[in-house]
Amino acid sequence: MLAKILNGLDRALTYFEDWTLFLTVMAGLISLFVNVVLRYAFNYSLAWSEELIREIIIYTTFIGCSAAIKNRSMIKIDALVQLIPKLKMPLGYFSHLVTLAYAVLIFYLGWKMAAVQVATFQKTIILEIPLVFLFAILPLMGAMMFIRTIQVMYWDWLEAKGEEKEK
Amino acid sequence: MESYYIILLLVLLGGLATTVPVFMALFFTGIIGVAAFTDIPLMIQAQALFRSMDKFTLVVVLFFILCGNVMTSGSIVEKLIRMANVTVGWLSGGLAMAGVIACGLFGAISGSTVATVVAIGGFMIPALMDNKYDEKFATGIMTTSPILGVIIPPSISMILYSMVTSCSLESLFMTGFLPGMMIILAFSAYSFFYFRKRTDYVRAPLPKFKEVVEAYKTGFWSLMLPVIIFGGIFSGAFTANEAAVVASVYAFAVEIFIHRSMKWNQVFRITVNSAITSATLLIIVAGATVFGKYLTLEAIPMKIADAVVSNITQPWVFLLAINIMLLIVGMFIDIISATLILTPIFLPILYEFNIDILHFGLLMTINLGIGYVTPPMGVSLYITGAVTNRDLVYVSRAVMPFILIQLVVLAILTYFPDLALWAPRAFMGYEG
Repeated sequence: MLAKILNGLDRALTYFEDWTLFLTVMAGLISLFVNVVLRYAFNYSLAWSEELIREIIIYTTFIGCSAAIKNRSMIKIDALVQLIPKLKMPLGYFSHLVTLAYAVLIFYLGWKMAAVQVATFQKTIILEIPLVFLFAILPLMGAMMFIRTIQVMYWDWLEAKGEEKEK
Repeated sequence: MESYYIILLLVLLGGLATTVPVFMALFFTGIIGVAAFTDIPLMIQAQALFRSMDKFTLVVVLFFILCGNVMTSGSIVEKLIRMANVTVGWLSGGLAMAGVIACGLFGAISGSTVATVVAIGGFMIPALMDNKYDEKFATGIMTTSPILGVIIPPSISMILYSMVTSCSLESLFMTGFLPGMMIILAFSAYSFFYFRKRTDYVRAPLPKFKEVVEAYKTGFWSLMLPVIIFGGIFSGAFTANEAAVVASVYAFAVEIFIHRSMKWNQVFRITVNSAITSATLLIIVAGATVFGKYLTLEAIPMKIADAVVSNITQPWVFLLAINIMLLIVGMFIDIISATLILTPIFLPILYEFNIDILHFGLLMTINLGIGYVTPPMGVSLYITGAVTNRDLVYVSRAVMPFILIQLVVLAILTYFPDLALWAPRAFMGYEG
């Protein structure tokens, strides 16, 4: 049952992460490239492109983190594990637990911040996007990282069980 | 020093040691500092985390990573190696030189050491051994040359350094040019003299004129890429940002339409993976901002600066101490994290000793870059170890002569700041 839910969530999250990351990066690349061309050809630049890029950076960084947990490409310092390989398992679980704590904390703080933006109706300057949509990325990141970490812990557990059976 | 600083230092180092993701170790140190030892609401740190990403300049990281990834997965690497080989391959030790030059050219596209080790080392080490170069030499030179990836612009760690210190990125890039050349020349000279009297390896004949033309003709479009990045930035035609964007578009266009070595579904994969890689780096910037916020609230960098200045009076002693410290740090911590954690702490000390900010940025980059290949923990050692199926002790011995050369280059640049600053002064009108 758990496996089924996790697999379903995995597919949904991967689809969401991949497509949004692809579209935002491409949108950024194209708008900046057009901007360079316009600057040289017509001495003109798009006022909104800078704001768009800032929003894209916020978005790709916070959403990309969720994907990075799945790929296990989060930057960590594994010097201790290389010196003492036996510690790999316990440290792995410790690191996952810290990630869960982070996810919960950022969900809570992010939610509170987004609520403030709703109450004050703030918008971005040029594109007039309500700030709540931007700040909502923080609780979204918290929730996604939480699911991803549970998933990775489950995979680790399966792997450990498999190794035991082989013995 | 107050006792709670020690507690926080233990939280940070403990987190880093226990494989907690670097950005979380930084984030929690900043959070615990604010929550436990000040009356300021925690919200300020959530704000800092969010606002740290609300910066236009960060986009340069994303697009240089994208450009580097397009290169690595397309056919450009192979073409760069071939061009380097027809140019110097016929000299004694020529194939090794070609490997070093290819690392330099690749470094002019990619901003990371690890990417360069994988892209060039994985190809060159087997090639060198097929031509009967000794394995130890091949392993050593191809493990250490990829430092050119971070020294020769564009360099991801330099980008982050310039963000923390708000110095000019274009000028900082320029400082990397000369040391990059010095390392290429020194490594080439070393392999030239190493193989000069020897006949037990395969030395390529002088290529025919037609072969040279052919290699340059097929490699022309790839070679234009470093030209766009270098030439664009140094002539002032592009900002670093624009260079990254134009280079990415160009790289895609060349791989899809001219070399035809990339399919549309690869474009999707590469773009997504680059966004993820960029996220793992930028989130450390966010973590370091939260950590740095706490440091500034407590004025800790100033306190450290005062302590250092009252103990060390000579700038050269300080630089020597920093060199040694960074070499040790570089063994354990990757260059990005180390740059982001340490720069805000060193910054006030630089003003006290009147050390140029660009000069220091270059030293930090070379220092931490050497850390990548310093036994026992250097990451590159493990990567080439896996490529060649050799253990750590073997690879560590193999890199020794090359590390020595890099340390000499580092020492020269440390104590002759004019040499490091020559290029930005001459080309960018830098005054300092």
